[in-house]
Amino acid sequence: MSLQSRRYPKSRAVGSALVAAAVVFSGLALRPSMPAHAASNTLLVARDISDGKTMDPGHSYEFTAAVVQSNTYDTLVTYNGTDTAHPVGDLATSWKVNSDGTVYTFNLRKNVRFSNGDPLTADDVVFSYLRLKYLNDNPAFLIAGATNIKALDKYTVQITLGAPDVSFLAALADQNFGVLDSKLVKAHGGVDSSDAATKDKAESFLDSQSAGTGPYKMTNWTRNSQIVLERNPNYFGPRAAFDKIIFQHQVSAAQQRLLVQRGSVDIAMNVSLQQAQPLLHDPNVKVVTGNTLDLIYLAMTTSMTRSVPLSSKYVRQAVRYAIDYDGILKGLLKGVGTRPNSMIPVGMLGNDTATNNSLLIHQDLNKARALMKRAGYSRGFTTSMYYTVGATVDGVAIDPLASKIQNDLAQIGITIKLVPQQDSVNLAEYRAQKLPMILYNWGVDYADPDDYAGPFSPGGGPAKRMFYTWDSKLANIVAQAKSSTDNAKRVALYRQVQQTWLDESPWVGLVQPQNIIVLGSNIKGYVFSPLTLGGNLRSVHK
Amino acid sequence: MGLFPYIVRRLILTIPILIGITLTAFVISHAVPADPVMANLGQRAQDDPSIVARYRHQYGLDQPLPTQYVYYIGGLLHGDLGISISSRRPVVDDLKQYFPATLELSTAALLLALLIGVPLGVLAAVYRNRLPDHLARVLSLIGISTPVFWLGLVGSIILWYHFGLLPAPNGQLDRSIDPPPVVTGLVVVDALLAGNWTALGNALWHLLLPASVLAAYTMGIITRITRGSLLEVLVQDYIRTARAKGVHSASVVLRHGLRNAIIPTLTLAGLSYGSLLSGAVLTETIFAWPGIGLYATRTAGQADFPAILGVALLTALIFVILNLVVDVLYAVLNPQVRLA
Repeated sequence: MSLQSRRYPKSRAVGSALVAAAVVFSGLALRPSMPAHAASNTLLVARDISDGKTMDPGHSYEFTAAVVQSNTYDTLVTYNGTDTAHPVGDLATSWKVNSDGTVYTFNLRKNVRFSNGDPLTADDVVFSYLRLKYLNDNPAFLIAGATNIKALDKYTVQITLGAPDVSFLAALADQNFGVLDSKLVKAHGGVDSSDAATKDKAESFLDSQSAGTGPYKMTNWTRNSQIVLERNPNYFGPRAAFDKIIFQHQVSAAQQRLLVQRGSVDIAMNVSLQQAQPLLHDPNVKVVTGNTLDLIYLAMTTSMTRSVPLSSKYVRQAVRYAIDYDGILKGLLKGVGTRPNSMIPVGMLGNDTATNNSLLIHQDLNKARALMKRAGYSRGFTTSMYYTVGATVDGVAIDPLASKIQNDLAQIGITIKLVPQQDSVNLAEYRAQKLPMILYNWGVDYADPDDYAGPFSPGGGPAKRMFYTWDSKLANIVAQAKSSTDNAKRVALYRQVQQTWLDESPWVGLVQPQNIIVLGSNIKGYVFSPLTLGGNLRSVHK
Repeated sequence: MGLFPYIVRRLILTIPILIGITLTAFVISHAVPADPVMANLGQRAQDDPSIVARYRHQYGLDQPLPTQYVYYIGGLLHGDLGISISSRRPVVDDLKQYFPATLELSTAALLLALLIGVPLGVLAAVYRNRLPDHLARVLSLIGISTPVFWLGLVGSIILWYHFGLLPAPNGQLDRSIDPPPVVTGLVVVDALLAGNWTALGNALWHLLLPASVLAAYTMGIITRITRGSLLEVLVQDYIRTARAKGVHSASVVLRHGLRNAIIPTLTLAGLSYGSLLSGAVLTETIFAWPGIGLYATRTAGQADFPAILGVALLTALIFVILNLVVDVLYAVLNPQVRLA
């Protein structure tokens, strides 16, 4: 039976379709006009802010927090741009360290005001640091070594360490040492007593607005949506260039690229390598790359209980010689990245470019095979390599890197079974010392070589995960380097550390990633800061 | 049985279902070898036993599992879903922030899917094997098979980037517009309530593409189901009788035919709405829509037990309620159905 057109004229159907189309298009034509972006004097930044958990320097340890805090809080010392070898004074005008490196005395800048007008004194510094210590949260390890923090007078702060630790000055440049307005924070339930972990109530206040001395102040944080900074009229330094900085949440690298290309945002912070390639030829944008101080590395167990072959140091050396580093850097990363010789980033004290080049191992398959033979594995062996599925570390995609390594090691007879897992699972098993091999990463805590030498040598956390606890000589060298106030001596000691790592350690340093930041062509003055992955915007203007 | 007692009975039965969901979600999420401490503390902090101990204590992770579960249920009965380990604030606050955005997006998507899918399905059935039918079936196929992220990105590129017809993918509202005061959390509704026409227009404009992209799949299915169902109905005897009586043909199709044929479509719409409301991760990613999909994905990856349980509960509740609504609609539309 037909249901055809005689009863339901075609012309009616066509007619209604035309009407519908007309409605839709007139709707589009009558659309509200696009508001002018960057109204008045606003800087719009596209960034994935979903990692933000808190903006309270006493609790936070996420990149988004560091990005915001680097613009809203000041620390005693800081770095100029990419020069992380030489701390310069920020809130401190000068400082003294005693001869054995245990007592630090800082002279504070006078006439500094917080964003609400309160004056800065040594009491604010003492409050902020004691609170950081006693909250005992994620960043508390940074100040765990301090046994005494006190104000000697209104503008002098003294910190005493339980043991000499030369890296402490570098740690003080971290955003967690941002100085809080003690009066304001106390008014909102902040405490710096030893029971702060249970008694402090100021976190939610500090999540809604900042209490710092920086050129900007945070006035709004809507999770997964935006962070709004406004100019701090009381800033002691050069006037901030913008009335407002708005970080708008955007996870997709592709969309971030489109946003900055079209001028809908001024800066895009998470454009991936792949998305950035075509931007190199686009005159509307400027692609900036900067060295991070992070590392992507391969770790191998040293214990027979996890892998008999890998417990031989010759096998581990063979792995180091088997990897096609150039292929990774030039092929996978298109040259965007650096390669450390082991586990201290290039540019750090103890591993300048010259040192790094002198210690670098290059792929040498013959040597690798000879080492395998020496260890008794000329037939090769099979083992599993764990890594985090779908992860990107500072823009470096981990899945292709894992496949590449699997491929490289197959050349010397090592059959790698790839085990992709969630990050939280990997880390749990890694720490439980269960893994034979893992492709993982290390994020910088502070710009001192001890942040690497410590953890990755016997006595350190990551070292323990791979049973790398047996070389007490190396542990001693690391301890010496941590307490020596003589830079030349430290450099010599860290050279020894790196040479030892290359000989016997579980580690293969693969990549020191570079961050990509895309700027609109009208953005000026941008300087890449490694510790905030390029998030410090103080010098930016249009 | 009467409608009202039926609804009450169903609502009461919801409670054991929800408890069962919490138990299942609890057991499964703890069975996974992921440790929220690992996921939320930095590597250096994890090496400090006092920090780890304090952290575990703060989130009750140092208690035995049954105790943790009992505390959770106790809190639940007071409307307290616990503190999210990854966002450090009550799960209820997280859900209150993210769910309205998803509600807005999903409702718009469902409405679009119905407004386009049902007429398309009707046309396809009425003009079976002719041009409208072929067009409808092709459109439906495109809707079902095109990946959401592709549709979203390509839609963005063409309609926003190249032609400037639609706004940048930056969430629900332009940054330069003052948002209306939050009443429901749905920007469109709040703007309407506040009489803020600029915000309303801007919010609708922002909603258009994400909702369309999200609607595509559901639209495709609705078209097919409506078409199939209507075709079955239109060959029934009573339709022939109506025509023989001289009833106008549009009325035959719509009032006599569609009214019965729409039932499977409604069931489908209800289930689709449920799945849309559980979060559209890809759409939210592309359009920076601050909804529950991204929240669920992130917290799952970070072994954030309270958040995972909160999302599971919310999703279960949504499906239970939608199922109830669909069943009641069934009975309303078809008095022959007995609610048992």
